[in-house]
Amino acid sequence: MLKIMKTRNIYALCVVSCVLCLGTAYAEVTSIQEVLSSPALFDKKQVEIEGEIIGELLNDKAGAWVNISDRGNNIGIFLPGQDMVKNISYWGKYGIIGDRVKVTGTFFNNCSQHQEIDVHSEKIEVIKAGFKDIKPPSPRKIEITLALFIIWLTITIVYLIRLYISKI
Amino acid sequence: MIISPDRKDFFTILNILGRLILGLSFFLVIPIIVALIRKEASPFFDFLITFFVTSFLGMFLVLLFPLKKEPGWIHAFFTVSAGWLVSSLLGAIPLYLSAHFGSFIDAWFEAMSGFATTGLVLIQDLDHLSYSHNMWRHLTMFIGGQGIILASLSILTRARSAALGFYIGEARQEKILPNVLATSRFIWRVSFTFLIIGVSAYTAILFYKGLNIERAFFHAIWLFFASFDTGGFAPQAQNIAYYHSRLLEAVTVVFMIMGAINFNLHFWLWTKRKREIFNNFEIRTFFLTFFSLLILVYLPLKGLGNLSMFHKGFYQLISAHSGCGFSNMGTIELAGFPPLALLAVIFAMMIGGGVCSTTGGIKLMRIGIILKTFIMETKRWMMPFKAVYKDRLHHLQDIILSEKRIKEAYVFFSLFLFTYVSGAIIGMIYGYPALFSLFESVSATANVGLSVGITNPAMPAGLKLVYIFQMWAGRLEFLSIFVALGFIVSVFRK
Repeated sequence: MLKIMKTRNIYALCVVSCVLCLGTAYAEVTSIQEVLSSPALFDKKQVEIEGEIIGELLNDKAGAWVNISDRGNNIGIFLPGQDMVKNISYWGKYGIIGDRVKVTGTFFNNCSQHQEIDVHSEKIEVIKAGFKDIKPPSPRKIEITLALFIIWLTITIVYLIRLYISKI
Repeated sequence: MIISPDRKDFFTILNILGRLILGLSFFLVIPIIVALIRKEASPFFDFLITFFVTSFLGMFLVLLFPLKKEPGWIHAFFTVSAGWLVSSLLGAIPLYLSAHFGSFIDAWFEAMSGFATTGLVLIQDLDHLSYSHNMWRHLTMFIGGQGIILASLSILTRARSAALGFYIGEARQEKILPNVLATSRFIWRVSFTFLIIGVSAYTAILFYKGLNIERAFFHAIWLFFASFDTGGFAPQAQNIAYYHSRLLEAVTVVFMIMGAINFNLHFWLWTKRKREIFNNFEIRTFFLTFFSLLILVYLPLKGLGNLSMFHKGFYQLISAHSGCGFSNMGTIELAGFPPLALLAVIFAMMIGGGVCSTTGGIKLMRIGIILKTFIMETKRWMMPFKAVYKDRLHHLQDIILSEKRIKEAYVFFSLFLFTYVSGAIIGMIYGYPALFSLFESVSATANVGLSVGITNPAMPAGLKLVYIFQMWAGRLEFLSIFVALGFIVSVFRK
């Protein structure tokens, strides 16, 4: 009987430990806008946020930085190492839509290491690949330019002739 | 005396305006070249269209309205007011064509913000803006900071006798050299020297940070234009916070302060007494106001820890006081500042930098004079009734504090205060909180550019127009606008 009770206690202890571990490992899924609007609520908590990776990888003496953007809101992500972004193919800038990434990490309202709002990343995964997005000039724009060029050339010739006449 | 403008006055004004617009068109060649180098096809056509329109308009005005009268003060003031307005409208064309703005008003707002070296933004998706469009945005600050008028006049002028009028119309009340055009050329020389030093420093820092050399160079140019001309635009949506670099922030502080210093003081430090920096009235006023306000910023932030207080509080305050508007935090975070800290930042923005600098605001000289008159009046009351008391201040040389100087200081103080409060009231009418409305109104009028979030593409169109007016009026310090309005009124009275 005693042996059965000891076994049950051990099983109960295992179940409680698993629940506790899961509880602490579970990251709150949210958006950049939500964390920036209520930073105190998410301070020092694990979060999962998504956004387009923009610009480039920025060096730091203790790691590296990336910035992500989502619907007009941006946030800096601190990485312990540059390896975390080795799968990034497209970095958002003119003519390029960057990879959309999911960042799991700890949010800091006032990071003691960096004195700014940031997320210390534990994992970055690409959820949607970026692509090149260069829009060519519209035919209408080219037509307007040509028409304006002709008008401009005409008046420039008249202007230069007047200037020449006034000088002689 | 009755002002009685005639047909020759209008010909003169429109002729000078045409020259100004022609001068502006030359600057548009720079983003065209950038678009060619970077192979940005659509932006190339945006700037080509704007160049043709601007250049055509300039030549058309010069041809159609020949100079029939030697330009005088009235012409100068009218041209300055109209010139800024027309330049901002023309400068908005390539921005609107970029498809990064919701409407032409938004693009006009951005252009005026650039030329007035303010830095408030309505652009959308800045992180995907082309290099040529970013070059134009930042170039408007360089042009505006150095003065569109002086730039064009230095190159194109026939209006030498009215040059002083143009100079003062642009809110530069001190001459550095006896000849105003020589003064303007000195300002350009100082600016180009700092350009070389600044771009080199920024390029090195950004390259070390991880940007490739080409990107580092372009960002360096833009950050220099924004810091030295105290404009505050940045090439990325997060402003200075994008780079996560304390070293970069420290260098921006140096150039912000350089831009906020009176160009007269630059001249003295370059060519005469270096000790002037310790004795100068404006510098002493700056130390008094800055460190007093720093205490007000630090007190409510003391819960954050020393490093955070310094990083956030000090940087925002120096950015506000210098009129630059760089921010190392987001608008939501700035809006979350305790009210006392926010009020201190507002006061710093209200004051601004030195007279004859690239900054806006009431100016250190006038604030210093007002503070000095309080002390003067107190001393006067303590003295015998018939005693004659005159105070003096040291600004490059000892100057007696005359009634004229005191009156001038109070007039400009009142004008700025009236505009700050009026803009705040209009913001409140639109439903924004009082402190935030005051913050945004002061930021626009004093040409700072910090924002607590009111300025965004979704804000009411009426408020956008109000801030456009405030940026324009603040940059020109009202005088040339009032003279222009008086000139128009006299036309209708005739």
